[in-house]
Amino acid sequence: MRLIRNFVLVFSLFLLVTACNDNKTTLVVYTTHGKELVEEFVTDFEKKNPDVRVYSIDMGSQDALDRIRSEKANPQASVWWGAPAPLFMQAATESLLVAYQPTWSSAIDSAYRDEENFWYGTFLTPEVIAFNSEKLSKESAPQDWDDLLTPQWRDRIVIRSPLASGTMRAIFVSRITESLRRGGTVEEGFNWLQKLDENTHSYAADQTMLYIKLARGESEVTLWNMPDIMLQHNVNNYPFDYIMPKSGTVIVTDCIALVRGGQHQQLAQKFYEFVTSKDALIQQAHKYYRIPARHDIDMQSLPEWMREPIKAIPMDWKLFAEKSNEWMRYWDEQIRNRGK
Amino acid sequence: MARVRLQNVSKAFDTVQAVDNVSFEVKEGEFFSLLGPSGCGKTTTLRMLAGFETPSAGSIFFNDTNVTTAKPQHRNVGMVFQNYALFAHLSVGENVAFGLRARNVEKHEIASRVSRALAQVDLSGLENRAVSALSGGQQQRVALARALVVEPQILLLDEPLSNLDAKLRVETRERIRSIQKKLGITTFYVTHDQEEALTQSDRMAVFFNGKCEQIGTPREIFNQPVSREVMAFLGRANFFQANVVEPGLVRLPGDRQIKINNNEIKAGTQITLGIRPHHVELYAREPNFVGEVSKVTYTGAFEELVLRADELQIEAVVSFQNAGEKIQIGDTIPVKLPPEKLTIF
Amino acid sequence: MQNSEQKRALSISDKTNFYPLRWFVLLILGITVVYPLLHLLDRSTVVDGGRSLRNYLHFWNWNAPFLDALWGSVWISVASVFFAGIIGVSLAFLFERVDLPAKSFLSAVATLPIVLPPLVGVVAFVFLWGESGIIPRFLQFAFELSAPPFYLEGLSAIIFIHAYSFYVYFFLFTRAAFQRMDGATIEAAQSLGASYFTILARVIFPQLRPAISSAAILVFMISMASFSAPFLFGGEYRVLTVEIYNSKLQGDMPMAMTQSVMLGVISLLFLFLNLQTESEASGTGQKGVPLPPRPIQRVLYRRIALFIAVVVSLILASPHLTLLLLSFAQNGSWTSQIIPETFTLANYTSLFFNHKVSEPIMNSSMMAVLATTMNFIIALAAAFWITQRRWRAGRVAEVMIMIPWAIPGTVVAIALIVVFNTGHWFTAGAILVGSFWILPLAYFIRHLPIVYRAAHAAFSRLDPFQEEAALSLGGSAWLTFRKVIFPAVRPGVMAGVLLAMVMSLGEFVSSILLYTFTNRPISMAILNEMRLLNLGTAAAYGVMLTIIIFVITWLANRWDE
Repeated sequence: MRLIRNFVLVFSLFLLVTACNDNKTTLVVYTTHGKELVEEFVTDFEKKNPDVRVYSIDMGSQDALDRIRSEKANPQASVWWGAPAPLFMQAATESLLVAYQPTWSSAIDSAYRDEENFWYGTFLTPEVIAFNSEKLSKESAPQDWDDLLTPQWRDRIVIRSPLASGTMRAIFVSRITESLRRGGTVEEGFNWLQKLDENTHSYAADQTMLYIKLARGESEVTLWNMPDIMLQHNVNNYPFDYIMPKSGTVIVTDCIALVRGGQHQQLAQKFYEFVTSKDALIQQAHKYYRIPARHDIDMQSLPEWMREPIKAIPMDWKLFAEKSNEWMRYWDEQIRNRGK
Repeated sequence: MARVRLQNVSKAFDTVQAVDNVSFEVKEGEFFSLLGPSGCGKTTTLRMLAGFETPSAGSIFFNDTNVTTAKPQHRNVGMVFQNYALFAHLSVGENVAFGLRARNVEKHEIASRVSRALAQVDLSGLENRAVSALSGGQQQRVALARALVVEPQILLLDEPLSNLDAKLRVETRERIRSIQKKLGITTFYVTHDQEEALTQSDRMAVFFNGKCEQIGTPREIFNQPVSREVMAFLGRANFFQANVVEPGLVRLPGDRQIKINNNEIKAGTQITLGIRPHHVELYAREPNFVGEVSKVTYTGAFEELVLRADELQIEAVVSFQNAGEKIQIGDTIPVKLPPEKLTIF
Repeated sequence: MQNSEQKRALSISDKTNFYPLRWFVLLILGITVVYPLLHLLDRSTVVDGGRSLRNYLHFWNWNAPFLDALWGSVWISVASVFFAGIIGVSLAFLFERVDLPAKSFLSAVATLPIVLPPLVGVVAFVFLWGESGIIPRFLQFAFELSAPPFYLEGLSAIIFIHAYSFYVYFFLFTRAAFQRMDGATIEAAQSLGASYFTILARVIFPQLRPAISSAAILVFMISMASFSAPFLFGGEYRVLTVEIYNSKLQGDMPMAMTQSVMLGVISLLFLFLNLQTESEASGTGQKGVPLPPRPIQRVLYRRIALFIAVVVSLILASPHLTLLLLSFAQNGSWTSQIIPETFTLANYTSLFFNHKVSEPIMNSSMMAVLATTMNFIIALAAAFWITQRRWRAGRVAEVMIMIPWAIPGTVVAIALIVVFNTGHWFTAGAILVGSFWILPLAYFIRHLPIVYRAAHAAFSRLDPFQEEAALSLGGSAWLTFRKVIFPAVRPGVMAGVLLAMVMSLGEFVSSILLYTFTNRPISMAILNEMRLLNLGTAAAYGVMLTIIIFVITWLANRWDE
């Protein structure tokens, strides 16, 4: 029985020692940008502000919104860095955000910012058709959205389960809005999604499962955002490559905002400015394939591939914010796996 | 050492009247047994003495202090439980020392008192043994030492021998009695075994259905039981229904008339006569009647007989000195029920 | 002799033994268990500020996927019971009916799934049996196939994992029943000329049935509550727990609440059923200690059985081995190879020296200690009064304690979110959602029944005279409790406490809904490392957790002896 006592004693001492943290100010950041990118800038920020400790919690974009919503009464995070604009729109309408006008507010297109300054775009993220480069080549991969529906790709596509993924939502909803834009109906859009569902081999529960399934060749093709694909290719040596769809692609605006009721608002603003400064954006462009949303950055300082314009298909983000839940729910209830 | 007085004590559990209006007084240093069948209330009475139960009515006095509602830990009693209730996680010595520790006795004194208490029960030097390493008899003695080491005012023993085998029982019984005599401690002893009660008690109380039927010395109770139940409980007995024909003379079934040593009972009264088998006189010179042997049981030291005389059935005992020859079923034997041995109810 | 009920009735100490603490126990239970659940029920019927059952009506809409999810949950649970039952009962037969060599080693292996935390186990399965897992890949390579010959995904994967994880209950229950069985009944049947199958069907099985049916109900309940397997493996297959999570993620709290209530009600139903069968099972006990049946000694059977046991052991240990292998793999190095090829110790060094990596371990340890300490106090107090005293409110307290046993972690989490999203007098106005305290609270609620059951069992074995002996020796109520009662029940209680601690350390189901940056537990760290494709780090966490759990379980077993 003395053993128990000693065990408990040692254990509590252990806890005590580790619980004695420094007395630094803590700033909590919810982010979706992945550990490498975030940690680099957090470390730099902490270096410049030695009395600050930044806790960055990396999570999915929908997860981030949900977390901020759940914590509305008791906000934990001060900065929300990363996730597609529609989620920020939703957060703004649910009054989860606090308005802040960054110093560079004039250097950004009005399409990439909130009129009331609740959120600002940081990156422009094109969604692409990604493929396993060991199994396919740029030539043999599907070249455009509609190619994915041909029998050739039956059971060769993996899709990240779209309900919890901002990226996939943007892609799916864009198929419906495209149909509307071309004078078609919502049903035609769902029709497209249904055909995709028929060709889909499996749905990945999260980003990791998607990468694993694609990297190991369980499926050869997926739809995902370009920076992540490139990052995985370069950082983790995954055999990934991508095709920019011929008919144009949806470009998601990745945003940043301050959380309403978050602690240390001034510090949060400082962090906000720090990660969206020109230097930061250029660095992010080179190392992490992020296309800056600001238009006041010298083209020559950006990587070469970024200088070519991307053919964008216009998105009505207001409609997206309004309808995406309803449409995704319909998809979830009526389309997912119904074609099999 | 304490005098103990129970005054109209009752205890009810929900609807069951476990102890019903019991009163008695026990003198200092007396060895007092509570005897009775299961569920008669003897254990409940003991537990009220210990303080584990509070009487529903009545009072309990130790000397002149009313302890009716005093907590067990404030009564200074020592108790030995039927299953000993030794603390399995403590060693022999620690078990014995428990009560001393609870009383904040100084360390060195504890050690000496513990070893003295263990010596008293012949367990010297076993202080550091685990309780589970002891035999049943040894455990029983540890329990006794544990109860005695605190020098209690009274000692309570709840069927302390029931888990021991026959030989150990006698040995332990004698040990308990001799220690008790030496210490002169007032002792209550609960048992359902009449032999245990009879052999060691100074006085005893017999319980039936929550009531205290009789209190007295073993001799009084054995020889002059107040009721047929008491007599039956204390040992084997023959009972006969009888009708008083005239004072001093009763008629048994089968129109057999016998004498009784009581002239006060009026003629025509229905009475019950009781007689113990060993008091039945066989081969009597002036027999009351003749019985026919219907069963013989050989028990070693003597033979037990069942005799029949019409509808009368009589148990009797023959020791070998008395029996001239081997008794067989069907033998007829003259039987006498001596008036001085008959108990009248 | 009086009946034991009367002997236990310590009416005097009733009034003196820490009496007011009882109300404290009831209060804690009311606040932490009953109030959140009732509040959840209440809130699920509020639509747009008025009472309505609209949420429930949508649930029962036949075209809605929620009903799919309900059927999905039920179907998975039935299948899990079936397969877990077959594996568990046959293994028990193997161990008890055949005289196996190296039995104690093999039976330790047989309980390996217990020391695999739920999330970690599922992760290991993905890498072992998944489409690109080691075994399918190996077979593909070995036989030069164009595609893996088989792999686990979706439904089959969930059921496989459930069968793997839950067969232990069948195994342990059946073994215990075997050991209680009277071997003479088998010999009697043999002497009456019954064939082996007749004996099996007519003599052995009926005696095992109560144990098997308790295990079946238990496994059904656990499968209904299972989250990590369907969450990671399910993909397209809907189950209630994941639907609740998704509803919450979509911000559809009313639906999350409705689904939680539905799942909660079903689970409570099974708790009721379980208690029912348990009381039946305990009613059929025999007197005395019968000799367990003699195992079969024939050499051929023994060899076959040993072969099966070894194969099964390898399968059982495979997730642990996979995890161990992966924990040395360089992050991101494992893509198309059968097994990782570059190895490193970096995953482990970061576990100890990288502050951000080691923090979740600290968090989990701290929360586990906190939650288990509270579990210990409340369970000990409740079990003490319920078994040692005639506590009228004891039945109520017991029911309150056992409810979380049936309620899935997902439901507990949703209920806590609903209740602690605002301040209350009992939290001194603090909002617990988003704070550190919400997770220890969830762990406390979820694991209370485990500690209580252990404490209850320990107290039931306690000799009531021990307490009286101590009291009559002059011990105060507190001294008696400290020196006599507690030491006597300590081994049993501590075993329960350690088990609860283990479960808190690896808790995932409610953590994923409740965690915040100040209390990010190990399970969330694993999930996050997975998200970031740091499989090595994730596996290292898993190995670490498994080792901690193994050590604690081992200690618990030792103390319980």
